[in-house]
This record gives sequence, C-alpha cells and structure tokens, in this order.
Amino acid sequence: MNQIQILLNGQPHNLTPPMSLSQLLNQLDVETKGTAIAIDGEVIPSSDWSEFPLEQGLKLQVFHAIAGG
Amino acid sequence: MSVSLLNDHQARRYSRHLLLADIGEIGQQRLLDAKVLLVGMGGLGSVAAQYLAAAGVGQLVIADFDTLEESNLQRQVLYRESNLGQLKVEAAREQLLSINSELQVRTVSRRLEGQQLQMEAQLADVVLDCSDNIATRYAVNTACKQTNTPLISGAAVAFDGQLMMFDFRSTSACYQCLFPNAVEQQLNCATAGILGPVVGTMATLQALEALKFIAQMPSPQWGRFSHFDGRNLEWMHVKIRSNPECPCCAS
Ligand SMILES: [Zn+2]
Repeated sequence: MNQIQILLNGQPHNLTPPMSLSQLLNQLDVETKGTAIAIDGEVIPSSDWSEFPLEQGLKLQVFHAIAGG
Repeated sequence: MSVSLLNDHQARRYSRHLLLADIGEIGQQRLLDAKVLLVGMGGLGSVAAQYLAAAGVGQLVIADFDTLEESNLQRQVLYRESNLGQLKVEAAREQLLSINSELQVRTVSRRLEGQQLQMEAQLADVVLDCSDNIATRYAVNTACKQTNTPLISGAAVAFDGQLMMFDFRSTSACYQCLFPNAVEQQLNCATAGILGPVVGTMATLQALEALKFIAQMPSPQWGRFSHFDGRNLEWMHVKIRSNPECPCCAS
C-alpha cells in the first residue's frame, strides 16, 4: 500500500494506511490526557478517535490543555 | 421619542461606548445591570476585572483564596507593592473601586467549589474562568453547564495562550469535551514561567468577549477554541464538537 501524507501541526508527515487517529497518536506517543485533536479545523471528540481513518492531505493539529492563569 | 437611560455623569463617563453603534445607551445600561463572576484573580482575572470595572459592569464577584506574592507583580498589574501579603480579592476590590466607585464588588476568599460554586454561577450573567488548575476548570465548567451560564475560559503559560467559550444556554459542547481526561500539569506559571503581556492578552480578550456578550453582540468564539502563540504572534482557531461520551455534558 502506498504511503499517504498528512499535515501534523503544520509539518508533512507520511504514514501507511489504513491507520486510525488513535493508532497514529499511539505510534507518535502523543500524551492524550487533556488533549484536543483537530482535523481540518474541527475538534474530533475522543470517542471518535479509534474509528477515525486518516486520509491523504488532512490537516491534524494537537493541542494540550493549558491550566495556568 | 427616546428615553434617556443614563444620567449625565454616566453619559460623559461612558461616552466612548455610546459612540459605538453596537453598544450605545442600551448596551451601556446592560453593562451597568450585569453581573460577572471571575474565578481566579491572578494574571487573567486581575487584568480582565480592570476592563470590566472601567467599562461599568455593575456587579463583579471575584473569587480567589491566594494572598499576593512578590512573584505575582510581574504580570498581575492590578496590584501594587503595598498590597503584598494581602488577600488578592481584598486588594483587587480596593483597586477596582478606585477605578470605578459605582461598582459593586463582592469577594469570595474561600475555595469556590460545590454548591457555592454552582450558586455563584447561577447568579452570574456570564462566568470568566481565570483559574490556574485543571480541577477548578472542570468544576467551573460543570457548574456553568448545570446552570446554563455562558462560560468564557482563558488560560496562559510561558508564551502560549488559549481562549474558548461555551454558551450553555443552547446545546453546546463543554470544556471537558474539548480536553477530556486532563490531569494536573507539570507546566504551570510557577514552573514554566509566564510573560505578563501573554496572559494579559488572553485576559483582555476574555473581557472583550464578556462586554460583547453583555451588550448582546454576536461572537464567532462561542463553540470555538483558539490557541495563541506569543512567540510568532500566530493564532489557530478550531471548532469544538461535543463528545457523546463526555462525563460532564452527555445526556
Ligand atoms: Zn462535554
């Protein structure tokens, strides 16, 4: 299977499909507690991460909660 | 025939608001009649409160149980050296009243939680989350959700800021939908540092959005999360979606 490329926090990132959002986060060892994942400008609820298929060209952004104030 | 809502003194004092078509006399009267709860009077709350006070927001309820420390003065610009060692809410009350003596400022110097938090949220037109920890953020979110009180939440650490708003009067996602399973963080202002204007930027935006909300202006920020990168002066905006498994708001 050919690789696909996504934009991860603005940087190109290659991966081999099929891969779900959860699998990618796991592979990259992303801290998932208090983390918001947005795809193409919209937050994906954590309940959908395991089913969400990554496709060519999508833009993924990772945000961690800031508590300070 | 128009009936004047404001007295002469108020018309002078708030004349720059009256020039704004979106605020005007009716909007100013709404500000004078409004009640805002600020949870936390550190770098966010102390700055946001100044703008609300100056704008004539009639009632401020300010909650914080900290006393002012020397390390706060670098960013919490409401306070003076002479306030060191005082409860922040007491010092803030005095300073806010010196900005606008016509306000009512009520202080809560205990940890605002449980029933009391829910009651204060219920009594407020809008809540500003200016707190510095995840447990409080979750509790404020829950109280606002349960009382259908709009929530304007700000956060900052180091060079980064976040702004997110939830209008719980309509169906809306919540803070816990956005940031599920959050735990207290290693990185906070005390460990990672914070530059004053970064937290001040977020606080100023919280105040802006509160004033717009009270004046019944629309905002694109309801249901949206924004991240501010103070190094590169870049903003990222994303739409928040509700999580059907959210422990706070899922029905
Ligand atoms: Zn929720």
